Amino acid sequence: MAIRFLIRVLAIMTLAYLMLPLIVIIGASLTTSEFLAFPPQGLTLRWYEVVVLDPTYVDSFVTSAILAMLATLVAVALAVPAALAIARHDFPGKAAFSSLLLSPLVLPHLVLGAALLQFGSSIGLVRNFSALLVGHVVIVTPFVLRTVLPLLSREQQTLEEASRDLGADAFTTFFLVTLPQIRSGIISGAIFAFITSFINVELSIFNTTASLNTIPVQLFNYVQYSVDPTIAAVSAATILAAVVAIIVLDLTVGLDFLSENE
Amino acid sequence: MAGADMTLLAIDDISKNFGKHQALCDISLAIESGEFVSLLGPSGCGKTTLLRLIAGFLRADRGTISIAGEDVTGLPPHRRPLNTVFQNYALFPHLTVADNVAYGPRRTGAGKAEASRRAQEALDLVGLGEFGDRYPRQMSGGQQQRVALARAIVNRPKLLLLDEPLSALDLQLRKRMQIELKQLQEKIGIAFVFVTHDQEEAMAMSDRIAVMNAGRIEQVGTGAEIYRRPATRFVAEFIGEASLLPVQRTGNGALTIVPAVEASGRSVAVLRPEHAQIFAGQADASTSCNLLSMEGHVETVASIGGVTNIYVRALGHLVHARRLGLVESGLREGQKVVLGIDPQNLHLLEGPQP
Repeated sequence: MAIRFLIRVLAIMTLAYLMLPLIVIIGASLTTSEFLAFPPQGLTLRWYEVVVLDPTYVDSFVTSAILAMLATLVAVALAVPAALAIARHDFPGKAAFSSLLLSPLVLPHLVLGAALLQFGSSIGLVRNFSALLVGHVVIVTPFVLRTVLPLLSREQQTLEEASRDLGADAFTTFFLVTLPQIRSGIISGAIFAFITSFINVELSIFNTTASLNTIPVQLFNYVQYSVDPTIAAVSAATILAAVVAIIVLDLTVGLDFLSENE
Repeated sequence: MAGADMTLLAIDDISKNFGKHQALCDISLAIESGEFVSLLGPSGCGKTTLLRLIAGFLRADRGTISIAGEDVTGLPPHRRPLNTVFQNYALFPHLTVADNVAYGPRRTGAGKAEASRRAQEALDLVGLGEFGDRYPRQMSGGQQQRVALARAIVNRPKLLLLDEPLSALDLQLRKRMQIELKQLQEKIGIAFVFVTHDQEEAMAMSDRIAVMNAGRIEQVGTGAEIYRRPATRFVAEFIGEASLLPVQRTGNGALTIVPAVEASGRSVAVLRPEHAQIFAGQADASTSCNLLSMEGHVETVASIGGVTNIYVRALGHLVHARRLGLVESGLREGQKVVLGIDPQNLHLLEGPQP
């Protein structure tokens, strides 16, 4: 009993530790003072107004959203066939191939960004949206690969064989059997991919310009010179967007798959 | 060639290697329409590989497979006129039982209504007509087994492949399913190729059994044939129990049993335990004429309820004898006895045996 109680307390404390910064940032965004203050001194939406009326913020927000969405889509389109190839076939260099695809998970993004800039400049792929997209695809693809690969088990392969046996061709089998089986992996991988892309600073910073900026880079640049509640307002808006996204996801496809049991 | 000789499945000279490992070597086998054939052998003997070759999940390195006269060697699985019951059923977890069974008809061109009507029919056939709305995970192992069966026969294939379909069930259920499966097979008249490592199962259900070992078929025949007249030493030892006794012929052609120390290079006689008679003394043995007799002593008496196994050491051989029921008085360990064997009950494997 005592242990159960301790675990409960520990869980609540951990949750509080995770939640408090969010509450502080949302609280600070509502302050009437000219500097970050918590608890907020008075309540105002003034800083949100500043953000919404400033096209650089709005533009970066849109850029980040489109970038994260496209990077995630491309990552899914690349990772699913790659996972199928790795799980289903033996080919020379297979181990090296899968390590290579997963390596961005352990490589410092700053190093990767510098390398991509060097490489990109030799083929003219710098400081534009495509350059950003290529970099983001590289770092988010492993997330989808990691969540899809374990689902392509031997049992899953037998299901595909059963489908073929019952008269379905390879194409039909993929859509009717394989895809439903790896759907949860694709969705959870896509969530990680989207978030990773959306919050990335280290990689984006090499290819952003004054007119092409992502929201985290914009914030990063801003806090180097001033710290005022605008920053809190942008952060709070980002948090809000994430919460809305999660709720929409739960209502449409359900988040049950994120827990272990079905 | 089809039709006239009723050959449904013809396997000709199939070989398959996995890297350096030879999984199948020169396999030939013909199966007739409506026949129940078991592929029986220890694990790793190649029986599952052969099944997967027939289904089309693997390609043979050499040889051809034809079904109803059509060469299917190069056809992908979905274009072969057969269906498979997989070892762990392989039911689609994201589909209901009814949709699982309707999957086959849907893929082969039936409309939605037609497919669900046929699915219902197949489910009724296996006694699960009421369970169409459930998901596979909501059913017991035995029920899942029946769903897998319904799904495999719904397209009315001429040939059904079964990969150890009963191995995941407990003993009681397995015995019951053996009978049901055999009855169903006779009722719908589909030829079964049934992979198993359980000889009792193979004996109980099959019209013919192909005994496999190390990538080769050692013998094909009815259960009685392979039990009475095993073609090789492997079959003799794998099917049922047997004592293998080295023998030689005397001048007048009669058989005599050779002592263990002189065994190498001899022909071998297969003696089933029920054919080894035990007598208390030489006098009793000579009362029955024409018996081969050997003196020896009882080494072990083991009663396992319905039968008693008696192991007698004679001429250096350990001979296994069996009596029905609990052993009556008079047989103790260490006791001197005479073994009597009717030569007619000996099956001879000619030529020097390893």
